[in-house]
Amino acid sequence: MQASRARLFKEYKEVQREKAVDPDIQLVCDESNIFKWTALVKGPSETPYEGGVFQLAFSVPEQYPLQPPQVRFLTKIFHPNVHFKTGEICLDILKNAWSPAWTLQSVCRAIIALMAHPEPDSPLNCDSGNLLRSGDVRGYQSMARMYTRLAAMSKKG
Amino acid sequence: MGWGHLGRHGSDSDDGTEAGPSTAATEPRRFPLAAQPEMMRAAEKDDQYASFVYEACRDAFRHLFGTRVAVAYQNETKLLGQMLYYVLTTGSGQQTLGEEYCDITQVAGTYGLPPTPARRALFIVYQTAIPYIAERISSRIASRGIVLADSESAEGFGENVHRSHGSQITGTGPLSSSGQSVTTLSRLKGRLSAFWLHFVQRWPTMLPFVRELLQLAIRANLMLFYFEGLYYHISKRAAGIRYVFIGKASNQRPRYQILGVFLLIQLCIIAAEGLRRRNFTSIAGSVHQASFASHDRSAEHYLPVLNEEGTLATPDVDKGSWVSDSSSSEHHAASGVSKCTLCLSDRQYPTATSCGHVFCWNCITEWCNEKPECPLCRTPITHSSLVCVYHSDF
Repeated sequence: MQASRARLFKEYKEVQREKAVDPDIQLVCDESNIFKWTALVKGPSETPYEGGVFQLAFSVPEQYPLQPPQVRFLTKIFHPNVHFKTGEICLDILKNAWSPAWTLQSVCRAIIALMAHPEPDSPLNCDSGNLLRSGDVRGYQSMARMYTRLAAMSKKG
Repeated sequence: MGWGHLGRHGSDSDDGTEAGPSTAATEPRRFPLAAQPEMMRAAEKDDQYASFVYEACRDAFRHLFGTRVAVAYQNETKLLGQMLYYVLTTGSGQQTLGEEYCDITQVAGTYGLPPTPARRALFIVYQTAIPYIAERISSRIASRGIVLADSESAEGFGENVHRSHGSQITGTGPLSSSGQSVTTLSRLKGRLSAFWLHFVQRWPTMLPFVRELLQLAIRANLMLFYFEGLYYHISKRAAGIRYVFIGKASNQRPRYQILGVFLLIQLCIIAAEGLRRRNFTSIAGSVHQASFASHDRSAEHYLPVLNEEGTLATPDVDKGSWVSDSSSSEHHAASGVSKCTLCLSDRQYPTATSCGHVFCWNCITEWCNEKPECPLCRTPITHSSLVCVYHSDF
C-alpha cells in the first residue's frame, strides 16, 4: 500500500516533468485519489484512429507495481482487441506478461502501439477481428474511421 | 425475586453455622466480593460457552439455508448465539456456566441483592446488542460517507453543491418568516442535516480514531477493574452488576493491583505521547512558518547585495527559485544511475540478478514472489540467484 503510493507519487512527478516530451499522451491523476488516473491519447497517424483523442481510465491496484493497473477505454473504439461495450483491453502486458518495470506512461505507449498494430487472432471485438481475418482491411478501416469520427473527435471539427 | 433473597439468607445462615463460630452472630454477614481471578475466569468460560452456542447456531443456519446465507448473516448469527446464551442463563435469573464454575453470583445495588430482571435485561442488551448495533451503524455511515465522497470527487463540484445546499437552507429562512417558530424549526433542521452530512463525510476518516478511543476506554475499564475488582466488563459496569463469592472461603486469593499500576502507567504514557505530539505538531507548524518567513527575509536581503555586485546572478534569485531549484536538483538525481526501476526511488540495498540488472532488495524479492523473471529482460531468475551487492560503489 505504502510502496504503491510512493511509486505512484514518483510517477506523478515524472509525468509532471516530462509533460512536453510525449505530446501524444496526456496522463492526469485524480485530484483526490492517486489510485485513479485518466489518460488522453492521440490516435497514431496512418491508422484509422488518426485525428481522434481517446480517453483511458486507469484503476491502479494496491499491490501495484506487482499487479498491473486495470485500463479500459472510456471512448468508444472499433478495434479487434478492445471490447466494444466495456472498453476492456486485451493486451498481454496488462494481463500475464506484466512486469513492474512498466509505468503508467509506458502502458499508454503500449496501448498506442496496439492501436497501430491490432492483433485479430485474439479478438475481444469479434466483428472487427473477423473483418481483418477475412482480409477485408478496407472494411475494417472504414468502420474504425467512422467510429473515430463519431466518438473520438470534437464535435466542431 | 423472592426465592433469590430467601436462598441467599438460607445459605448465609448455613455458612454461619458451618464456617466458624468466631464472627458469625453479631452483624448480618455478607458474602465476600468475588476476587478478580474468579471473575476473569468466569468471563473466559462464558465467552467459550457463548462461542459454542454461536457455532451451533451457525451450523444450524448453514444446514438450513446454505453456506452463502450463513456467511452473509454471520454477525447476526453471532448476535443470536450470544443473546441465546445470556438470556438462557443470566436472563432467567440463574448463574451462567462460567459463574457456576467459579462459585460466584451476580449482585447489584447497595444491599448486594440479586439484580432485578430489568437490570439483567439491560446487561444483556449492553453485552450483546449494543456492540452489534454500533458496528452496524458505523459501517453503514462509513459506506455512505465513502459513496458521498466518491460522488463528490466524480462531480468535482462538491464544495459548490454543498454551498448551494447551504444557501438554499438559509434562503428558505426569510421566505417563510411569517411563522417564527416554523422558520427556527426549519433552520434548526437544516443545520442539523448539514451537520449530519458533514459528520457522515468525516466519519471514514474519524473511524480509526474512534476505534482507538474505544480501545482506550476498554483499557481504562480494565485498569479500574484491577484496582477495585468490581466490574470486568464495561457492560457490567454500565448495568451495575457486581459479583460475590459464594463458595468455600479458601486461602489468600491474589489481587491484581500491580497489573493495574502497569496499565495506569501505560495509559499515562499514551496520554503524554498524545499531548506531546500535538504540541510538537503545533510547534513544528510555527517553526515551519518562521523558517519560511526567515527564508523570505533572507532572500529579500540577498537581492540588493547581488544587484550591487552585478547582474550575473540576478536571474536566479526570483520568487519561484526554490521550486525550480529543487526540481532541477531532482532531475540531476534522476539522471544518475542509482535509481531502482521498480520503486523509482534511490536503490536500497542494491541487488543484482543473474542477468545483471540491479534493483532494491525489497522490490526484486517481492516481484520474485509474484513471478520469477527479471522485470527488465524477462530472464528467468530465482530467489537464490539474487545477489545483494554490498560492496559496490554506485
